[in-house]
Amino acid sequence: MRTIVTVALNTFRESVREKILAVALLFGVILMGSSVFLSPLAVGAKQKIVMDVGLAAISIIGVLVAVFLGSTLVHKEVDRRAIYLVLTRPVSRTAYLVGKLAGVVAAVALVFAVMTAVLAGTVALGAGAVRPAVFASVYLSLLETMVICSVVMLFSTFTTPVLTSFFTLCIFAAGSMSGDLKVFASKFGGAGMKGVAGVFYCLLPNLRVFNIRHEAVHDLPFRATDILLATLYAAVYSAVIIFFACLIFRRREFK
Amino acid sequence: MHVLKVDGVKKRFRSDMSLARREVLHGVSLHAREGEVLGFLGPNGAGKTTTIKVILGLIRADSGRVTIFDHPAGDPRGMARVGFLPETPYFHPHLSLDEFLAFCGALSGMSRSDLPRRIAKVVDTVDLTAHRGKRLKTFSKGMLQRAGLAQAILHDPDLLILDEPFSGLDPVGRKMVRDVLVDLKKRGKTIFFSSHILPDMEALCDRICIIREGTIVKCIGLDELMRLGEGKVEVTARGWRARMLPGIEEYVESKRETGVDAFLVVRERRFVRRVIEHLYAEGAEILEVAGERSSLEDLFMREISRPGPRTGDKKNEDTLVFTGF
Amino acid sequence: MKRKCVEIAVAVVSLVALFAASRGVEGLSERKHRLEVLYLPSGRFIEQATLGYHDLAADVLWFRMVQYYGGYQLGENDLALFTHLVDVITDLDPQFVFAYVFGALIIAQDLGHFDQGIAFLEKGAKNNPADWSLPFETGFLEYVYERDYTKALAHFEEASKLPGAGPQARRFAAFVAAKAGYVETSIAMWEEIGRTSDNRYIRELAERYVTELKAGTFRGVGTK
Repeated sequence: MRTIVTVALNTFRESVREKILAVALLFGVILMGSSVFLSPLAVGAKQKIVMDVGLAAISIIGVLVAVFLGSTLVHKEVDRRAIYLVLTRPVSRTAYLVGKLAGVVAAVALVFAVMTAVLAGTVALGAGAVRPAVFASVYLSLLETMVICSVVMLFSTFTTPVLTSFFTLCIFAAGSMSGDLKVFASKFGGAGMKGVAGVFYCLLPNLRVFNIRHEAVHDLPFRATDILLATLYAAVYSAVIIFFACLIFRRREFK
Repeated sequence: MHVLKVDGVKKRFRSDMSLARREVLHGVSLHAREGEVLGFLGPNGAGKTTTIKVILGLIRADSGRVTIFDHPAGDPRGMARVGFLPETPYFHPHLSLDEFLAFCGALSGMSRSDLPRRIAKVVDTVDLTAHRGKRLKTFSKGMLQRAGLAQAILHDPDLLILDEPFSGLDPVGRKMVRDVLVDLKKRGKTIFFSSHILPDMEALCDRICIIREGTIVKCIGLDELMRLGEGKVEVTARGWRARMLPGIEEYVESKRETGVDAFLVVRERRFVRRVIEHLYAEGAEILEVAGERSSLEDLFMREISRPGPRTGDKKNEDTLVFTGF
Repeated sequence: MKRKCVEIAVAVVSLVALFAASRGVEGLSERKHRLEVLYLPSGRFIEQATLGYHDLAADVLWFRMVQYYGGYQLGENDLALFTHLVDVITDLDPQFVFAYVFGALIIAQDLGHFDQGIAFLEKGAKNNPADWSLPFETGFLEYVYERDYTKALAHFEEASKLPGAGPQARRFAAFVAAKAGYVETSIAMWEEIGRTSDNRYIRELAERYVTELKAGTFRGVGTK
């Protein structure tokens, strides 16, 4: 446990000192600011647009930061051989990977916290109210990011940062559409296609369960059990992916 | 007690563009006893770093066995007592030296209360106290090498594995490393290190293993090395001519000429008189007759110049890259 | 020095060329922009392509729609694509109530397609059954454009019963009831408004309307 925390803290520190984090945060804040700036053009939808842009920015930037950090941090350590100083200590490779994941998620959580504060401030300035659903939506976006992080870690154990980013973004796109893929297969495919689609449906992360941005913006009801279910799903999915990542990483040789 | 045991380790690598695998370690065996300083010597590409990586569990051996303190390679119980310094170390650039050492210490299982005191001590030992708060990305190569040594000795390991510990250091830095290693040796630590700098090896090591083309060709103690030189005599002659060699060729092992002088190494003491009488008869002047002590350099050159088990008569020219002081 | 001058000159020429090129393709870009809206796929398809960010996509299209309507006001277009835009926006964000309201109003008023406007409001009410503003606006369109007071009354009444309904829904229902010939219903509604309103002016107005309705002097009373 101490190893995981140590690696996580170190990864967090390293991530926070990466310029990309500051750039992403700045970009997110600019994006939210621009929605306020453009809102007079929105004619009757000002609050909605500020909220939509804010929540979408938090989610998109979270995914992009997770993909960037996750794909580069492990690879850089291996490429520069700094990893030798970690793995030649009484440290299991599993603890190392889990710690890395925790560190990246913590860094993304920091970005989320800052951006949520900016969003809350923006909404408050417009005499709006930040509803609990907004925080629930941000929490679910963080879970979504954790799932994406675990996928990034999986790919980063055996391929380059560019391919890791590419594959992960493909998985993100497919995971956002997984329900539609399944429906499509059931309408147009034969039994074989349905079976394959079913397998892919389970393998791909079902990212829709982490999306209550619509409910948050329109103050629609959401169930606490849905949040709990999404949390459990994220925990199980991430754990399984990290398990496979560890299987690959344990076998990896550092020539 | 053998702290480090490497027995019959073989390793094949697949080269990037082909499916065929090339064997790089052919049954490497070496043992390091407790409290011993074992040197690891070999030309570039001989397999030193590969062997070290197998020992540390960074690479898996295809066959053979490695144990550290009777635990298999890579086992956390063994690794907890090992300190490793890689060749040309590179660390997390965004961390300060203090943060980096705290990170390493925590991973080695050091207690939070012990860490600050221990960090201060090793930083002082490697003479980096003035740079504690600076980020590692601002460090020069020599400073990184010192930082690397600091992290290797931070947790007071019983076995130190160092890959080129003198690399990148100026003479002052090399002296510092030598002093550290001498101190560790006095405290009974076991040290296994590879280096190209032969005088440092001669000064520090109890035993040296020479590796060539993935095979250990010789393991020899320094005292045994010194005895190898006994029986040979070096004769220094002035006024040497090439025409003087026939007649004494069978007695002379090697010769070196510098302008008018020649240094002849006579194989055995009992031939010295015959050689001297021949030289006088040919008109040369004998300047000096001295018993020769064989050096590590000579041994190394001999071992790697022999036809190897893999390359036949091919001489290995990589040996020219090392330097001595 | 000479090299630096040459570099500056080339930089200036490059920027001028860039601006000229940008202006040169402006017409093409505008035509493509129009085509993009014309060939905008259905909201359902776009929803799948937005990877879960359909609300944001609706907002982007909303901006476009507002600009498009502004262009119409300036005589730049004929609003031919307006209905499709509103349809896509409300498919992407079915809870975007104002889009239904604004869209229905423009479709009924500027395009003259009353039935289509009503259809959008009914789509909105189906997706937002608890929102009072949609039946209210439906009643408003029925009242203003079709003069169908009976239908308008039904919608205003429906709106007034929904949670959070503004007091105007009840007032409009009471007013239109009289227009539709339901005098007793109108009197009952105004009496209730007179009792419950916290606005003095509204209470006085209600009292006056009750008096006029009872006396038969209320203007515009219709027949059922």
